[in-house]
Amino acid sequence: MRAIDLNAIPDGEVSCVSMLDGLCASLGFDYASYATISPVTGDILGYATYPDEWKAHYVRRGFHRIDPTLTETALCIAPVEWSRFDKNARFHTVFSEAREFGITPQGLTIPVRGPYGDHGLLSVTRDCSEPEWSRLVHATTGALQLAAVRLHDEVLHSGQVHQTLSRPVLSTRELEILQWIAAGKSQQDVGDILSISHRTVEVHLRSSREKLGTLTTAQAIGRAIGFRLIHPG
Amino acid sequence: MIIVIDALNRHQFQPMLDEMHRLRQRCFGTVFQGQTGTNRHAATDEFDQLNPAYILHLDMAGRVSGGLRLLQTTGPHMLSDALSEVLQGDAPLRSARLWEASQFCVDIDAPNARRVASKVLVGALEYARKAGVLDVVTLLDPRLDRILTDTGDLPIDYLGLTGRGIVAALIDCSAERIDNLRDRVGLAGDLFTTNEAALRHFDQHRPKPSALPDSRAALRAYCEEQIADAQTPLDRAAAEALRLELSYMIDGVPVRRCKA
Repeated sequence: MRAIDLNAIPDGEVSCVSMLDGLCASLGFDYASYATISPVTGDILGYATYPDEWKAHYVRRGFHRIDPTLTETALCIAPVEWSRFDKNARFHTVFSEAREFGITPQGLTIPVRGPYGDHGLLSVTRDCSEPEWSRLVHATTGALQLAAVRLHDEVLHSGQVHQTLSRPVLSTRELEILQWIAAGKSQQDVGDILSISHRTVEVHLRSSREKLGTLTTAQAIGRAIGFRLIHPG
Repeated sequence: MIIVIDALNRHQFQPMLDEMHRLRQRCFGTVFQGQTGTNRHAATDEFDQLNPAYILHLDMAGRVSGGLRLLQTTGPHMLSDALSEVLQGDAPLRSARLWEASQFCVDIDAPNARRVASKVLVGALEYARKAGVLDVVTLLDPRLDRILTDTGDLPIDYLGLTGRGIVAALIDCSAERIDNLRDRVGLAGDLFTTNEAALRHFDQHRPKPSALPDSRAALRAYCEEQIADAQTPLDRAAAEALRLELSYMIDGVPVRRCKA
């Protein structure tokens, strides 16, 4: 199992590393990384905003095979604080060496699962006091969850084959809701029309936005029209 | 008390998980056998292999009296991969901020069933909320649905079919919803406990392992005698090797092959 630094591929997508940089800047983390395992080859594919010297050292030492923030967090469904690895010898092996490169052992990994058993891991770290870290995590967990899914889609589905295979499949209700909004109705209106709560409308829109790979509802409508899933309003 | 068991700590909690599976079998074993042609509620199913997070309730006597499991909806889950009849073949909702709760089991005939079910649900919602999740689509059998979702002024919507068997209730993790569920059965304070406290509570009513049996002591005495009686360095090395090799049986620790 090899570790491949996607940053190093000359004609690879630049959007992922800029997404990670943007994430650090907007949410207040020092470094971020995203890793997934290729379902075809079993290689670990990764992006990281860590300094190059650390990344090179990490791969040379084969840390991707023992780092529990990669190997064990993938088994969870919820974000994993690295403090859970306090008593883990392998964690200390990796992060005692990380310190020499200015990287703190204070971090969080968000595992994301795709529909076909594929996995992705978004990790973030910040060197700050523990109370400040707790506050930061509490305030950003939701945004990190969304970012993890977007990165996963971006990395796994950026190939031509994946794009053709991964035509989004929206439920009848999701399409109905998007169609009403395309026709100019507000979320509250749509809830009234369909006799469901405003919250339920929001849950469906969230799912639609993520399935269509968009950040906003307006973008989702545009893309749904493009896929001929709904008619223009 | 409520405990969360996930991939990272389950090695400490296997007996508790086994008890939960037995509870599940008791709750669902006979009820749904005929509904879909296969026993969807067998004690374990393929989704247990996906490392879900389990939310368990331990009663005053340390028994597992309620539980459910949580999975991400972006990955394989029951609504997408096993219970398509609930959605009538329609696509499932998938979101990083939506989880699925399934195999929600409680001893429904117990007098405090509603309270236990509410505790398990609140535990699940609080755990999800902390993970940045906003809603949990909760699969409920009709009896559990009746006792949990009579929410008065805070209604719950359903996804897919209702009125025939398992339903999918869309329950939000908002503070308002959680407070409402807590207030209805008078739940105050932190429901969660530490791993150690849960294990102690669970173990208190289990039979204690017996004191070191005579055979272990005899084996230890034999090995030590062999070491003491060894005439040559080679004999001594062999005797010590034997002692180390038998350490699992004598001390109950994994075999060490050297003294380093």
